[in-house]
Amino acid sequence: MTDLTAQISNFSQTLELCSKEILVQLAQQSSWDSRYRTIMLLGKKLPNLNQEMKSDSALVQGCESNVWLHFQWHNNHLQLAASSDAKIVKGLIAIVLAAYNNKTREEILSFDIEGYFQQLQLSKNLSPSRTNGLFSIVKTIQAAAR
Amino acid sequence: MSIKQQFPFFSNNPDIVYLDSAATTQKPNSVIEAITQFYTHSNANAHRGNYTTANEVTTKYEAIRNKVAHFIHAPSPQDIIWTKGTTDAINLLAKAWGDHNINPGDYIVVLGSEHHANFVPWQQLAKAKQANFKTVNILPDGSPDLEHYELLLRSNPKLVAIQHCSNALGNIQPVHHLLSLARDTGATTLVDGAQAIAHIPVNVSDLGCDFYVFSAHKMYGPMGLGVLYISNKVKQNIQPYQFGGEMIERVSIEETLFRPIPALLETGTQNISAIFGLSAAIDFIESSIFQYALKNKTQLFQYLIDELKKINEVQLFGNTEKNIGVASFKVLEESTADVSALLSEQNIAIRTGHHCAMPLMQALKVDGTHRVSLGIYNDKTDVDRFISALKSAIELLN
Repeated sequence: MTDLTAQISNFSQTLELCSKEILVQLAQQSSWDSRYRTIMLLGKKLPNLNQEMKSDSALVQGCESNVWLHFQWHNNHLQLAASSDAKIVKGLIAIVLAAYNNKTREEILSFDIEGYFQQLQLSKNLSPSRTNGLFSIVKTIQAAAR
Repeated sequence: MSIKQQFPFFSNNPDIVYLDSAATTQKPNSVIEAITQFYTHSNANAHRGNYTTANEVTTKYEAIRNKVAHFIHAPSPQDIIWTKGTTDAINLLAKAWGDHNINPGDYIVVLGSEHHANFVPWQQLAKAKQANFKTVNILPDGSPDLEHYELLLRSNPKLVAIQHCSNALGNIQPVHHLLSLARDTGATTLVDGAQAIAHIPVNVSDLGCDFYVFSAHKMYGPMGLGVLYISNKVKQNIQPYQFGGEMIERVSIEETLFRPIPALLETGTQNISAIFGLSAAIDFIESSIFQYALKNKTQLFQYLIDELKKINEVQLFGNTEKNIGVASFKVLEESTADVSALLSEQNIAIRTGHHCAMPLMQALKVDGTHRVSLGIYNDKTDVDRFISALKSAIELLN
């Protein structure tokens, strides 16, 4: 096991995020600013990436901020490690990882990501559209599962 | 009636605080009506038919060319060429002028703060021609380093291509001085006036430049139309870059005789409805209500800068004294993506990023900035709503 493999594995296993809980948590927020506060708090739950993991080769294209994404398969489950230097984007990454981390190919491909984001009631500029980096992250993960 | 009420965009979008006029301005009713009028009443091609409607369109079309010439103080309407926009005009010049005048070893000089549109075409031309592409160093306030400029002029550049105003910072560059020094070396000169045209009077005769370019859509006119001014003395150095109808005197199987500029560079049907719209935009800019509002805009810009300076976390870029009404800033310790998302959530329309001026961002040592750009319709409420939204964003991110 290389260092990086171990680091991704470690990141993935320490993530304690559940998409259903996130939905409940965000639904309780009544104002736009409390929703954002909740998103940023979710971002804080992501373990820190070390310098090695913040390599240029891990950068996701098409993001306004720096987004790093690593993934690998472990016992038929996708291990994910990702982060961003932007707080809101980091929170959104946590939301995406909650849906996909440590899931099987079948679970990843059958997950309704658009419905998930609709339920989160985020504004258009936060949902995974072609114009923000979230779209690239989701596409990369889905492609990995195919 | 306030000037804002002349812009239907605002009544259709009462919640939006539009502070992105450097990207494109909103359009007043008069411009929208002129375009509609053209299609509903006068739609015919210019310089083609010989029936009444076509003749009327041709007459008006040429009268607008004359109006544009007056607007920028060009000696003759024959110096005005229609293009698709500023970018199109510069690319046109890189072909129609550059291909025939830039030789191996020649020098091309641009400012380090240029928009990519006045940077990449010349960089690529230099590469293709084995010529030298040089950029003038930029001082911390975004203005050109004049000592470095004079040093570069010693290479006797073939072309000096400079921005009138910075799109990323709003700086009004010292173009008179830069042009006068360039002229002394015999260089051909180009001024990118895209950001200047709606804000400051432009006088190409006084500037003494060989080329001046701008877009209609940044001066309250329609998209898809640009203007290229070509001084008489460089016309002989220009060759056609596209071929087709209307540019030719006579065609036979053996050869083709071309018509002079402007026809030489205007083959195919032009964007006539937009040209009619531009005419209305010039009337709007020359109206007394606009000129009065322009003075208010200067005060509003000062207010915006003062309010931004009161926020400790804000770092301002550019020269805010000689400026067309652009505040370029960054929130310290925060990602521009975060600030931008939170402003957008509060219906604040501004631009965030490198503003198509990556070499300038590199010189300023930032990845990008937030750019607030004022238009003639902005008022104190807009600035107040923006400042309050920015404060909320900063508070939320802390």
